Amino acid sequence: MKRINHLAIKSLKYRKFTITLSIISISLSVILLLGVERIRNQVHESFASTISGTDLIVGARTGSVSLLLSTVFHIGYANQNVSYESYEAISKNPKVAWSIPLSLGDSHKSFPVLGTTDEYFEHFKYGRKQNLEAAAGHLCVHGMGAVIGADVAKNLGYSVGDELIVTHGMGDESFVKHDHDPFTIEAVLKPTGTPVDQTVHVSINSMGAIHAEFYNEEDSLAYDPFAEALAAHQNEHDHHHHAHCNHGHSAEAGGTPSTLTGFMLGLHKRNEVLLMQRHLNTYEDEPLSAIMPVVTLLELWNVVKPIQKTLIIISFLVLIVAFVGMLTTIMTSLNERRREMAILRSVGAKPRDIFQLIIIESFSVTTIGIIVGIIILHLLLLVAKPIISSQLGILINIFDFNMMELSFVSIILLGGLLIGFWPAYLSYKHSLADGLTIKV
Amino acid sequence: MKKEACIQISDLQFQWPDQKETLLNIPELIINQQEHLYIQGDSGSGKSTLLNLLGGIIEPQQGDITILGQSLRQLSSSQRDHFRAAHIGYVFQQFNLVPYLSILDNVTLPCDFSSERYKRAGASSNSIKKEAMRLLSHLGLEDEALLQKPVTQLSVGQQQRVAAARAFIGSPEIIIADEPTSSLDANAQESFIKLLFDEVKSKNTTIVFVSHDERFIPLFEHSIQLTSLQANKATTLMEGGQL
Repeated sequence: MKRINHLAIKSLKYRKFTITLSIISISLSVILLLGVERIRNQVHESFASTISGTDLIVGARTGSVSLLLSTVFHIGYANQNVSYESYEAISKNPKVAWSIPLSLGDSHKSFPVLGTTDEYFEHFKYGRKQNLEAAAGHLCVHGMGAVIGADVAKNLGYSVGDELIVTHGMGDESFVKHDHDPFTIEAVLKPTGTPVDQTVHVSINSMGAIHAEFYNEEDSLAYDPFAEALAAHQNEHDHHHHAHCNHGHSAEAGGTPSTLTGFMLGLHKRNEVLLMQRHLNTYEDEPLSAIMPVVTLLELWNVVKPIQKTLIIISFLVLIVAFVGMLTTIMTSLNERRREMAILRSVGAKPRDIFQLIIIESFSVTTIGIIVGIIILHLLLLVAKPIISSQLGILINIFDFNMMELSFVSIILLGGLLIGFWPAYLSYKHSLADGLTIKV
Repeated sequence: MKKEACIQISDLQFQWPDQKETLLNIPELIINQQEHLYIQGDSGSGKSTLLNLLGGIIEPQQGDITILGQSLRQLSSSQRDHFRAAHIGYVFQQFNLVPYLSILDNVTLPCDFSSERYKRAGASSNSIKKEAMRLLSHLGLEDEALLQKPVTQLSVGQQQRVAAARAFIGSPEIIIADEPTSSLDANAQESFIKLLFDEVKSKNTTIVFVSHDERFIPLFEHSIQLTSLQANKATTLMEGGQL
């Protein structure tokens, strides 16, 4: 046993060039397979933590996934809006602890604009029940203040104090710009890894105001007394720019909007969620849909599942390619090694020693490939971790192997061993047929 | 002085599974201890097959080979592998060396597979490494710088001498040489054979030298035509009996 291992190690060292290539290809597939799995896992976790602590999201009657997409991911339009009356009535329901109104549909340079209230920063939570935090400035959206997500700030190079103009509808090229009503950036949020990073948050009241102004006053482009009023308000606001958000400050321009895209609810008692959901889904005054975000997130994740499966399948295909490469390397070496096997036989090696010599080779290549792959993957993750967490807000656990990854590693190890059986058996047969003399 | 039989072949018949005719049919062959026997045979006459049979790599369909009093038929294939490692040293025509082992590792290789040869080599010099060095210097390979070379950089003649050192290490009772000189140039051929003889002079070693070449017959005390051993060549059997 020992003498064969000894021989196998020397033989591997002798052919270090081709062996290194085999090891590299195995390592690469290990990096790919484990990397994809690790990222899939973290993306899943981050996806599942897009929103937390919100018991119900309510919108006009629609499908649950589309309501989630429009209110949380800001993807797609809600066809119908909810009346402000219904929102007010439901907010006053004794079961409701807090409510956040949401109004979507405007954008700023293709980033969605979310009209909401300061309550949003108090009650909206993501991940492990984390509140949104400001990287700079104060989280106020009343008046003409805007709070922008980390990606918005980064991509557009905005910082606190800059002004931005909201465009009606999505997309850069929209010709309807509310360019008389610039918002001033009050705060930039820390990265969260959620759609919040790509969102511009403004006051729902100011948003309602500029809409009302746009649709009601045809000559608003020529002269806009409202804008002046807003500008005056803005100047006044500047005085307490660095103060904490003043919730008593309710002199909102334009008053309340007439409709909402939807709203988020937090209840006093968790166990009343189902009851409340049924109540809202059968709301008499207006057809509404109420969803539990956690449940709908799962539904949505199932839609994404085939993509991750495809990634895993591709990684396995890469692994198979690596195995074929290794097999080719070993197979091509077999013929030139027939004489070596005859020499070993002449000094007393048994046919099963020959078998072992070859199987050790594929096993070592696979094992070293796995180890090297895991080391490189973790080095890459160590380097990428700060970048990924600041860019995508996804926190990657580094030395944390889950069961899936461990089973992948065992599959690769077993695969390497099984693949080694073929050349080992061939070599065994050769050595039986050749004996001490090879007619090569 | 009556010499003891080292190798005894009786009623041996061998046929490869994919061939129609019996390749070897040897009613009797006795090779005594310390005998240096030259077996001449043309290619295809079954020389290689005979060597495989002597080494216990393959088994005859009929008959038996007894080596040092041990019937090979009574041994399992794994026991035969072990028996071969302990008692027979081989030198082949060319490419005798394992390319990824150093010269010294090539020489000591049989000691890895046979504890008997390990012990005997160790007893002869203090360690198997020293014994390997001693054998190599006997065979004219004593240059330190040369010993550091990868075996693939040695000349054919040097390779054959390393192979001879490997065959001799641990003093096996039998040395089987299969065309060991045919890859050497004419001058080197004879000196190589003399080196072999020199090395076994003081020992009880039997040499079986197999070649197609008839030129070396005079160097050996005994020689034989492989064809003459065969039973179907009844007329030449007597010739074999001349041994």
